[in-house]
Amino acid sequence: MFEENQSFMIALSLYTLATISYFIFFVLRKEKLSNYGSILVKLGFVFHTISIANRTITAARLPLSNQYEFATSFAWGISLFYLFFERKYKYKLIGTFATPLILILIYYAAVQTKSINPLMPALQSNWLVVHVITAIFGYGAFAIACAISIMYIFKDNFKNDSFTKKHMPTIELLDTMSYRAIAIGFITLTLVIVTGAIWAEKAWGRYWQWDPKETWSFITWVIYSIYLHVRLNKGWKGKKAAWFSVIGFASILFTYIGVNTLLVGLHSYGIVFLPFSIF
Amino acid sequence: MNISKKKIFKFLKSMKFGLILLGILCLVAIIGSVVPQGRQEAFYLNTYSPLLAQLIISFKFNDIYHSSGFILLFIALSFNLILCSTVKLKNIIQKIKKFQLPPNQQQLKNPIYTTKYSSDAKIQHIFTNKGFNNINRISNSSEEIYFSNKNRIGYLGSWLIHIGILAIIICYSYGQYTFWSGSVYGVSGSSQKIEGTNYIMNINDFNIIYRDDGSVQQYITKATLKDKNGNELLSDEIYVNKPMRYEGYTLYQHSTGWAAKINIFKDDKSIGNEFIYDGTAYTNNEEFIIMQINHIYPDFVATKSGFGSKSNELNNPKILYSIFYGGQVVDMNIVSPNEDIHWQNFRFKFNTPEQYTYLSINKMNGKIGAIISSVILMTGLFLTFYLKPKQLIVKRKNDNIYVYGDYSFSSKNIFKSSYGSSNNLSI
Ligand code: HEM
Repeated sequence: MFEENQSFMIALSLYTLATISYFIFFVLRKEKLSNYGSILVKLGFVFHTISIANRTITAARLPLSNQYEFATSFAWGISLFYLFFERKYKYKLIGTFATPLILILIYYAAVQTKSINPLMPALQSNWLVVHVITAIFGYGAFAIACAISIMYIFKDNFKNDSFTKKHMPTIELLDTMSYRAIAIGFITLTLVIVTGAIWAEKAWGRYWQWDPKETWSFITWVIYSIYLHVRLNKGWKGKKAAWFSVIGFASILFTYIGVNTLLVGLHSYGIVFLPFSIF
Repeated sequence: MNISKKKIFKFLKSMKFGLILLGILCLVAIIGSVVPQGRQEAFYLNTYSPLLAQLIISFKFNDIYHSSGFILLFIALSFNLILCSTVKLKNIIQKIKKFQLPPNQQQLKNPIYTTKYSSDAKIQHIFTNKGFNNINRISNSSEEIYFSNKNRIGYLGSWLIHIGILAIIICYSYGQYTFWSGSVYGVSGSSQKIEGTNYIMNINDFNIIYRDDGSVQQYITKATLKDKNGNELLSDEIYVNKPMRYEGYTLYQHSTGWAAKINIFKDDKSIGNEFIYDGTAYTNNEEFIIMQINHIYPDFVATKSGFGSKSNELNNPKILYSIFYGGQVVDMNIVSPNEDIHWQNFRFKFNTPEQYTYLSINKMNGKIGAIISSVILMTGLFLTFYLKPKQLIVKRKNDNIYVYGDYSFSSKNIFKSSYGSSNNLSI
């Protein structure tokens, strides 16, 4: 059968082709291509699942611990939610806005080292497994909410176009769809933070220390809670709320990629005066 | 209360004020994540431009989460949440009560769907089709009104969310305010009093488990906690992700390092022996002599760039030491274990180094409170998103059935779209 790397590359290629199909569908208004796009994402998802399953078997644990493993799982989560939303709402145009987000993550995964490393003691925790699995589902939902919010902003600016009228949900439905996605995301993000805090308490002794990763997940959570309130407010409803959903997703990407590359965490400058620390 | 006071109160309890505070909190958190926290002032002066460094130090951006501004922000947020939640509760209870009342004339305007009456079963079906079970009925001379509601509890959702958040803030602040931390360390078989407590810790055993590839799988300390009289309180294994807990104290496997036992002789008579941990010293105040271990190398190599250790295994142990006499360094060298070190009429001898375990201990109150609050918050979120109160009203007048949608959430009619989009609604 397919090896992990092989199926990963096939998935990556299929997602790329899907994105191109959806893009042409949208720009050149070729309706047929939206069906191809949809089939390509589904096929991509199958190979992606095979790749992740293979790695799980090889590593004898869920692939949730380094940048590559989390990025590929994150992309998988977006793909899963995309397919779910496409099936539920039957608007293929969502694909034009959602597949680029899958690509960002899967290409990011592709440039990371793929070596399988044994887990350091601090990462050997069931709480961590729950923490990361919920993160994948939550982030997947937020990605779709972001795609739908971009559609909203787009539709709001190009109201009279006949193609968008046919293929895009109404502005009210777009709002409801992104709210539903954010509701899933928000509940899971809260669970991610709570399980992360429980794990940190067991491993480090403090459940909340404001280290950059924690801080950014908190910032993300606050941004989405602002979205939820803004949506209740008549004057701010709609487009302004949609912007918060986009900013929220940018904050997620930063929490995941930016914090690791641009900021230092407590984990790397722990207050250890002894010569050799476990963490 | 005069007008302006009323206005201020209204603002303080408003969602707008809450959102402003949340916005500021985001900004503060961003600054806190960008500026490294808790370093010496010199670090900021060396890393940033003079102006920026001054700014960081004056505004306490270097310890932002303990700054008074940050604490004030949380106090303001809590205050806002308390006011808003208290005021809201009365509102919610009223809403829940009102929800069970028969619909008013306002709600009986603009039906979203109209159909012909054929039987009572048809009306029943309208309700059951949308998941409504308890159907109430009132009738007057000209019409019959049926109404039903569900998910009343959902009204409590956002209230529970805010109460949960408030409780988390309170539990966390209490935990921070009363936080205590300490440490204890030792080699296998050693025993140490835990400073600041009445407990004694026995390190019965310390093991590092390696995998085949040489990576560490686990650090395991077998420890016994005793009271000051030596009575055993608790005996257990401590490893990473499995702390020992006793009476609010939590003991964590934190780190490890090397230590070596030293024997000290004066004129060939033993005057003491004890363990010295890497970086610490044996001090003899009577003889004015200090023997310090600068570093222990388990697998020593000397390279051009200095000394180092090839691995963490005891293949070629060496000890870099310094002897101080009367405050002056009088000797410094590298020795192997069991090698004699002579200085004047003193003789020192290190035993083979051993790895010691370092346990950190803390006491953080309010953990259970924080967990319960999180559960309240999660429950609130679930109610808010998935148990939205819904109401369905049906009026029968003559041969017509009028279906009125849901008016439980402001003027929004959640059923409108579902009726609107169903072409063949099977009523
Ligand atoms: C980070 C903190 C907060 C979170 C996570 C949060 C979350 C929520 C959520 C999820 C809702 C329901 C939204 C919906 O129905 O779609 C809500 C409603 C609301 N929130 Fe917050 N909130 C927070 C802080 C605040 C603050 C500080 C205030 C200020 C008073 C506030 C005032 C309100 C109000 C007035 C509502 C409408 C409630 C209702 O209609 O019953 N929230 N909040």
